[in-house]
Amino acid sequence: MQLEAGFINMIEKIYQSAETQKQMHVYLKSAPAESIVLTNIFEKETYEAIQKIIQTGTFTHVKIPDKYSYALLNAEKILELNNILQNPEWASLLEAMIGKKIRSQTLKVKRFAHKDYTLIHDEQIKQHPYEFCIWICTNPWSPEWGGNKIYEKNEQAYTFSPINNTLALMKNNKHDHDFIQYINHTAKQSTYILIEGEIQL
Amino acid sequence: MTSLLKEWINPQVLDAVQTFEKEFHIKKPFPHIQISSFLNEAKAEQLLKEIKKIQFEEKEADLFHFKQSSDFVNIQNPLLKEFHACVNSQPFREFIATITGVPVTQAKGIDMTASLYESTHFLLCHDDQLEGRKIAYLFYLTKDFSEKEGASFNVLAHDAENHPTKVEKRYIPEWNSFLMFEVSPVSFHEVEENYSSKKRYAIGGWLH
Repeated sequence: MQLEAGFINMIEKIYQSAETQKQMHVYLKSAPAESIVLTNIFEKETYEAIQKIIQTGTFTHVKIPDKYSYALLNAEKILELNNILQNPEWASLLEAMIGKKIRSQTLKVKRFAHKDYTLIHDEQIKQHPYEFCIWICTNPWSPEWGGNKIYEKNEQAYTFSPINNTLALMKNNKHDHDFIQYINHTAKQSTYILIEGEIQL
Repeated sequence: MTSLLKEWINPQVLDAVQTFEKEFHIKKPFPHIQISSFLNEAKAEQLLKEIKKIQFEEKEADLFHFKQSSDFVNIQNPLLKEFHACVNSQPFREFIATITGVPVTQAKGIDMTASLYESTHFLLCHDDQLEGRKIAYLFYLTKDFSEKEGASFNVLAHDAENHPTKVEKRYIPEWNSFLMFEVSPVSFHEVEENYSSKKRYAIGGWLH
């Protein structure tokens, strides 16, 4: 499938309205979790294009037992994904919520399954002021399976559960931490894809 | 050897200290040992009966999810209080020091709690290093666990930069066994997820 410079209407219509974007900006600034979650973020065509990239990519499992365990998508497919997210609609949405111009974004794409996790380390420092997560789930994910992204900021813990086609945008403070809960055996063969983006302003 | 020690520990274990000393030091990737039939059988049964009566609190973080009792230092249960006194006694410390070669004979106190791993519970890879901890120990009070049911105590190898690599040895929870290891920058270990519906009980902690 030939990817064009951008899909028209890649983002769900409701998030494109100026009024909604204004509200999202206010919400992001004032929420204790300093984050915002948007479900059904991509329109059908864009979502299917992202799914296809993921399905045709190669995932390599990486593990350092006292740090993390997950599978990483190959670089070529990440580039294809990045092409989709170069769409002006995407940048426009993020900028409206953040209230600032975005210079660039860096992507990582991880697949999580049973026995996968990430751990907090004291030497972790958030390098970028904002980051986002997009979840792509092959089937509905149950929080009891683990795999939830837990953000620890200002001595509070905030849970983000994998929900298909969902965007979470987070404002970072330098010493915030996050981790992915260990995925237990009740997840069976279920997996999910986590697209992580670091935003440079 | 005090009567308290003889009351609790299997006499065959008390007599085999030299054997255990050799075994402890040759074990890879870091010094450790598992000793079967460690306690007198009747005492082990009593211990299990008593820890099933105490309160466990759920503990959850990035590194772990399991249940744990409060420290036995202030426990009211008479049998568990006596067990704590036995493990904290000078003769027991000398017994441990003889096997390990690690000086734990100073009465700096011990950490002792009961742990309970139920279905899906786990403890991910770490080295136990915290100030003062010299020897980590565990008394397993779990019956009939098979390898496929998980909840094993796994010892991990490490690379030249002292980062953990892969599981080198698995210890299935064995009834009335005692496991201990020397805490060090490379004492990487984990408790595999409990895949079963069985309850995995243990009493453990650190000698300082």
